[in-house]
Amino acid sequence: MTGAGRGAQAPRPTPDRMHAPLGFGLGLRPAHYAAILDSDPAVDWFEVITENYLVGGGRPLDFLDRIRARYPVVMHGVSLSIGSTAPLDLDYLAGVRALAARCEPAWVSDHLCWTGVHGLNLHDLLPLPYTAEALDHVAPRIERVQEFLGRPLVVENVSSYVAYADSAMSEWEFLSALVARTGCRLLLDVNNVYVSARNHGFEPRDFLDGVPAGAVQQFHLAGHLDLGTHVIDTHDAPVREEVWDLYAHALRRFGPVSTLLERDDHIPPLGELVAELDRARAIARVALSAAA
Amino acid sequence: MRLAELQDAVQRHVLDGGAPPAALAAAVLPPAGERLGIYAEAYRLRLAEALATQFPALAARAGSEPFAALARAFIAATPSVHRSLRDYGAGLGAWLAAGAADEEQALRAELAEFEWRLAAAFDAAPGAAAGPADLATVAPQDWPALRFRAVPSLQRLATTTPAVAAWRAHRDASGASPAATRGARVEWLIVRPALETQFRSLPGDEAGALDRLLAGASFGELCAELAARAPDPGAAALQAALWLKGWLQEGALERV
Repeated sequence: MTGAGRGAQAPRPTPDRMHAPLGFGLGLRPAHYAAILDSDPAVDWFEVITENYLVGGGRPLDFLDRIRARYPVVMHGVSLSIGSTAPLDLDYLAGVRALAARCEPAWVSDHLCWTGVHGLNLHDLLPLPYTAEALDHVAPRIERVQEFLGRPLVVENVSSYVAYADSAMSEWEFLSALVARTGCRLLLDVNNVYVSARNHGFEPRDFLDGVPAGAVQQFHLAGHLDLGTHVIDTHDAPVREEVWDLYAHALRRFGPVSTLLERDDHIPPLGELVAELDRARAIARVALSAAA
Repeated sequence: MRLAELQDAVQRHVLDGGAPPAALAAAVLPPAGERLGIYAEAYRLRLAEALATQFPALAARAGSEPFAALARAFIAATPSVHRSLRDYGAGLGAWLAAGAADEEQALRAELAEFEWRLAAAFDAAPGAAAGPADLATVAPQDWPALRFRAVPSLQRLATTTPAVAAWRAHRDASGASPAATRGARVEWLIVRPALETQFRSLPGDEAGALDRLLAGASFGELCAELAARAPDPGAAALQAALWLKGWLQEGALERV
């Protein structure tokens, strides 16, 4: 896989084609701001949590501007709540659009989930029932967001702990239908696939094999907590072996897709994450050469 | 179950507990109700972490378990309406003040409000602060008509306890946080001229004058009001000019 390289400016995407792979990136976290600017680490791109920069100014935006001047970035939201039955929050979307105009991300992503109704936010990524009703609800909302932002939305699969009695299709069938109806892209969180597969008893490779290959814009990798009877998506530890194995399978199926390592708690020094990212690079080299 | 009903039932369970919604698919280990409990627990943990992040001096002053109890009570009383966790906690100072039964609780309420205002200044929009040089070309006859407004980062508040000293003790890790007492009202000005947030106390008459400008009075109106109350009207106008110069040097005001 060839990354865009340090110092490269991400070209603006067009709605009609997939963005070229960016290589291997890290989630941008405040604990690493200074180290990034001091050391220019061997990271091809950074993913920023959109909501952390929906502010008027100050130090966070200053750091973002300075890091954006050196690296491509992608915006990753957690509060779009595309699956909620509450109305879309146009003020929030206007903020997302303004931030995108400022930092020119390669793409903008959020999750296939709902985060609250009745004006409240549970600050969690709650799964949807995979029903025709939910599909008819979410698809036009994605189209409206894409129209508002003027770019395709990249939609991520979530980790889930509950399922619903009414679900009539698998999560990957639901995602595939959304891609077909809206032209949205997919952010495949490989760890989330593993976590949900363990929690709901499906085969994780069925998920990966069940989504349209041409729609996958990005991978996520992260750590989880295995409690035996179920698995919690914690983002507080290195990627586990079973997820690396699944990642290799994903690479063989989807090719050199932009890969992002996430860590949100117990954040180690930047160098440790760069080393873990190097493992992703090594796995990709092997997987992609075998696939070729 | 319709999607809207399902989401309403799940959210009510996360916020208020009770029997698991019927919409959940049956699960063996762990059972469905326990699985939904993962979301309920995560909701409270995330908000508690957000409060600890926004109010580190309050957390240190209160101590670990009392702060956790305070956070639990506030979270139960105040569901999040925010898209970003960083916006959660806006009402904590007022909420604590409403229930303050002694001087320590009053100090904690003011400490919370002070930390919240610092955070608001921290990531406010930069604005277009006027500097003293911007007024250098204003003709003397035009000064009375000058009007100003606050830069976006400007915060005004008052304390009657040593809350700011407690904040400083936490920042400096001095370990000498002051005893809680009620004292004279102290006015504060917080402003972030570039990237560093600054604050200082304001003498009462200066605070009153600044608040008049921020409320829309022209410089001339301010001078007239000060002169009406002063034994020496000329000295009052000079004082107003000196204050204005100081506020402009601090980057606190924009021209209207």
